[in-house]
Amino acid sequence: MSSRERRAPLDPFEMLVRESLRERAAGRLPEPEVRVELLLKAEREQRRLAQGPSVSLADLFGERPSHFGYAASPNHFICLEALFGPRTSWFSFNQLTR
Amino acid sequence: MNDDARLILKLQSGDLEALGLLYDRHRLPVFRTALAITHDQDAAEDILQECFLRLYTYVHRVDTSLPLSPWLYRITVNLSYTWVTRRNKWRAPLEDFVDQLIGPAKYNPEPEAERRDEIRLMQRAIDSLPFSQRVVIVLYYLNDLSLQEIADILGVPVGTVKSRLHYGRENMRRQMEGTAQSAEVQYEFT
Repeated sequence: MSSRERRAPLDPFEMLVRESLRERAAGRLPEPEVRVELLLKAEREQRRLAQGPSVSLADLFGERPSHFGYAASPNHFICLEALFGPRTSWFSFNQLTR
Repeated sequence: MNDDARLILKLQSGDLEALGLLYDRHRLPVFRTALAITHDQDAAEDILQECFLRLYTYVHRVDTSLPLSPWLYRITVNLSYTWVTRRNKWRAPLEDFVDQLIGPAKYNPEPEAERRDEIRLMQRAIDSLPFSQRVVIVLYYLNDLSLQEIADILGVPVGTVKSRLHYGRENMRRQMEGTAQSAEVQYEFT
């Protein structure tokens, strides 16, 4: 990925910038534990994804089948009276039949 | 198909050994970039690990027809940004205070020691740059990337990279000159 050949040569100030950055990184390596821990975490993630969601979370959001035909779940209950109430209520019926 | 692409495909099929091999191939540039930006060994190791963990998590989104390095650099820069902004919230005022207490570095007349002082001052000048300029300086001078490559990694126009590089250099030059002047004054009085 180096593209140094396309650049103008560095001036002394830029040489110092580069030397300073290289000097800081020189000889410093990540600890071997970083790799070990990474693979352990990835393995844990792989197991978790293979298992699917935890059993204890299955009913957390009321995902069981509903008794009501028009309700996806108890939390998503659609109240027909609220939607069509003004037109289908006794009052509306009374207005229509007056 | 290059080696990275082959390993990515293996990883996509759940082969964790491929993750280890990709880590071995790319850990040094990622680690050194994070280290140059954060100036903190522990933070650089955390960023390195998180970067490859994200590679594992989002491996299905990685385009194997493109080189992997820019993708890794982008994640490294984003994670470094998060780390730097979190740290700055509480640490920057303390560092300013410590700098005031220590004062500028003393001028050392021996050539080798003088060079070491210059490097130390330059490292300080790099650390004091705003994050956006520091990242460009690191990617350009440490990682040898072209302006176009840096623009692709950061998702900004090449002109923006050029301007950040220019202002970064100017800021460092100003800081170096300022520090050198005050150091010389201090040296004269001691």
